[in-house]
Amino acid sequence: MNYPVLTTLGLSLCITSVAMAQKTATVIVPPPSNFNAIPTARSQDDKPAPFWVVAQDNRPTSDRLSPTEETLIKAGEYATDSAVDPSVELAKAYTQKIAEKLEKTSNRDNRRLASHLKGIATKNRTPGYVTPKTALDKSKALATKAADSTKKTNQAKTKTNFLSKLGTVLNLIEVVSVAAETAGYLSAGDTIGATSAAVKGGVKKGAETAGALAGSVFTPAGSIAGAMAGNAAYKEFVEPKIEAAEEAARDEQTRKKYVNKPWYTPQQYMDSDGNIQYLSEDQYMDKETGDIYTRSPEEQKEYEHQQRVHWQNQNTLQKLIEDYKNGKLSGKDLLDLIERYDRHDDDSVWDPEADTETDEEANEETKTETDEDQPDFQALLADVPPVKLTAKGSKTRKIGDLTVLETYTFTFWNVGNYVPQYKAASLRVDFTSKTHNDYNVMTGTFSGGPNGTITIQHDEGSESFNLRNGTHVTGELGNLPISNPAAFANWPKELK
Amino acid sequence: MRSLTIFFRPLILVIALLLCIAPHIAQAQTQDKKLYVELWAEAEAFRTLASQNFLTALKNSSTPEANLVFAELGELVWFDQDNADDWSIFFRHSLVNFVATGNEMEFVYFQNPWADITLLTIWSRTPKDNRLRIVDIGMLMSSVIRGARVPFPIGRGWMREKAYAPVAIGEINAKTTNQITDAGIGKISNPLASLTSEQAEAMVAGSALQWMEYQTSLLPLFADETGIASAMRAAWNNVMTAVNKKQLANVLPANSPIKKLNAIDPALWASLEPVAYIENEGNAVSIFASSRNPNTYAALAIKGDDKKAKITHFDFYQFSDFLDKDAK
Repeated sequence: MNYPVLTTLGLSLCITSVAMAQKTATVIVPPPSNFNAIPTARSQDDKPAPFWVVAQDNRPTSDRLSPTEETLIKAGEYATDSAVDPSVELAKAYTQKIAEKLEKTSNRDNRRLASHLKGIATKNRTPGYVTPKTALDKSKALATKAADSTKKTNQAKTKTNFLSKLGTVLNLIEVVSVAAETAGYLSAGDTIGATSAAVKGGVKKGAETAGALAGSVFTPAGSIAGAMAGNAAYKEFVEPKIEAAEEAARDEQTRKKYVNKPWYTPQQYMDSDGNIQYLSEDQYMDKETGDIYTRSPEEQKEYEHQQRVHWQNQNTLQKLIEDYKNGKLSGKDLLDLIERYDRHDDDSVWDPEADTETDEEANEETKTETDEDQPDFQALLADVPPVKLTAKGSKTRKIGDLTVLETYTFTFWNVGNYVPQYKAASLRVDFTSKTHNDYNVMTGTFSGGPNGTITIQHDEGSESFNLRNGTHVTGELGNLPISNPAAFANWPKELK
Repeated sequence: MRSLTIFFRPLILVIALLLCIAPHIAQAQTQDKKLYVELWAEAEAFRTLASQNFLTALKNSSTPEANLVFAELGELVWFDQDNADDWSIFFRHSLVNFVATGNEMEFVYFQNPWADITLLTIWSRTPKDNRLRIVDIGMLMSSVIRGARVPFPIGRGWMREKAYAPVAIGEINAKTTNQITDAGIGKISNPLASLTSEQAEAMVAGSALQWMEYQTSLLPLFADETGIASAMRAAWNNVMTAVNKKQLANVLPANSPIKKLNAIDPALWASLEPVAYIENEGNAVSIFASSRNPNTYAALAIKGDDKKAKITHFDFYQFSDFLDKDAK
């Protein structure tokens, strides 16, 4: 662990302010976007008609980290050599998203982009500028390379983190188009003549009066605001409007009788008429399709349980961070506690005082349980030869004007993790359209057996698919029949 | 999806209307103080909310008609159907600029100096409560605001300046700001007035490319890239650690304004996010802007390589300071 960097966590709590905002006015800051594990839909509602999917996270919250939590854990993972600072987590996540978006650009949007660019005539190369054609070619090249990188890193997901993935991209691209001479001025120009805000006292003034916490306070030239456009004006005129908007959001919660459910985050969306609406508490939106679904009573019960557990754990973590900021907790103790939290059962409320188990104890306990409880799989599976299986299916997706056929192929072994050398599984997705063909392969594991679980790793986590009665793989991709159900004919009853 | 031609027609008409009202503003010489403050407060509240939760901002400050345009334009500019987060990122480091006219429609520009693009928003009073709300929007390349003509150059204007990066961006942004203001008060003709719908479409495509270039230029600050980018990440870590320990004198060059830097509100340090990175022949500069106050940004320059690099310069800047300089 890098404790000097940990120290900067005290500063990085601008991200904490995000979490704090969630705590006090939950609607103001949405959780980060994630790959969604969408619960089974009971029914699709007729209304309201969604148009624009909100940047909200529909995943069960037990496997979702708050921005604060992600910041802390990521800082602990790779602050030693690569993090700029935990406070840039938000920007980092977004930049990663842009890099990944490049892949889509080549497949989906370049045709549209090309038609738009007709209005821009090609200009002779000027230092620092990119001509439309160059920019278009470059975006295609970037997209291809980003796609290559994604495939490679998907295969090595367990060993790498996203930073190294982006590193692969960076080895292949040169984005900033600027003449060397100009770059020289930009990177090492005359700093002496620069208009230094600090030297002029501007930042100090800005920080204390109109700066750090007071919005942009960028007074337009020629304006009449003058001295008014400082902190006082901000507090008098802007803050009330922000507070009113936050209050309106809270009112929304109250109206919906969420007072007794402080863990509940109202989910917003825009309907087809451009109105901003709130989903009811048992509704969620499929970000892929924009369809709104209602959870079944069982699913809702489980969802609320997860939300409540997550909310309580977030509060606990928040308190630990406050203790650290206030000097009640050392950096080392904080990291130790977070590591323990990371180990705890996601489905339960975490009590740091009760969680005193050491690493050695945890390992010993696991080892003992494994030794005593594990049946002799080899003997039980003596009559079940390892058979390689596939499950296939496809969906057609409309992306803008483009129709894309997505073909899914799972590959796994019937015995799966019961015989560890056969635990590997993979999911290949082929994309076929009139103009483009591409594919992506993601790897994972299969637990084994006719009702086992395939877990596929992807860029933003993992996704699980279940084998049903040795005949179908079920999950978000639909019901995919497997190639050879007879592979489970002699499956021992002792194993599920 | 509606065609772009239909999509941009109202905006073009509104810009034409602007030309008609500009002489009136010039004659008036001054802006209505009460209106100015009202518009500024509405725009700044919208920016602040939008930088955190875009849909909440729309619910508070925009009309359903404009919301649909946001969604549609967002898909074109951010290449993302689910683009509420993209808008939030855009607003985190955007500056508010406008001239209050007192006419039926007010123009508020959200300048993003780092990508060198500008969102033009049109505000009008909602009859039911007489509050100013956004009724239409359009995306512009800031170079066009500064007077660039067809063929439009695509690229961040400040990248071609022969000046230290934080100064280059401050000066270019000041030109954008002053052009908007001068056009708003009728001092100069508005370069947007002569745009055709085809050119308006082209600006959206150009803005999308500039945004993508801007974002990808930051990748070295986030990736496991070796070389001087690695040294830059380490240097920023060192600066932030030193800030927390009040030990900036140990890491910054001797001529740095340590006392004044130490007096800066910790909240400002904590709000800094990377917005620019440039390297060239053993030199590199990164710039970090405040999401809470996008008027303020910090530049960190280093020299060397990943094994041995030293900080050659660190300082804060404010865009508003360049306005004065540009005016002079």
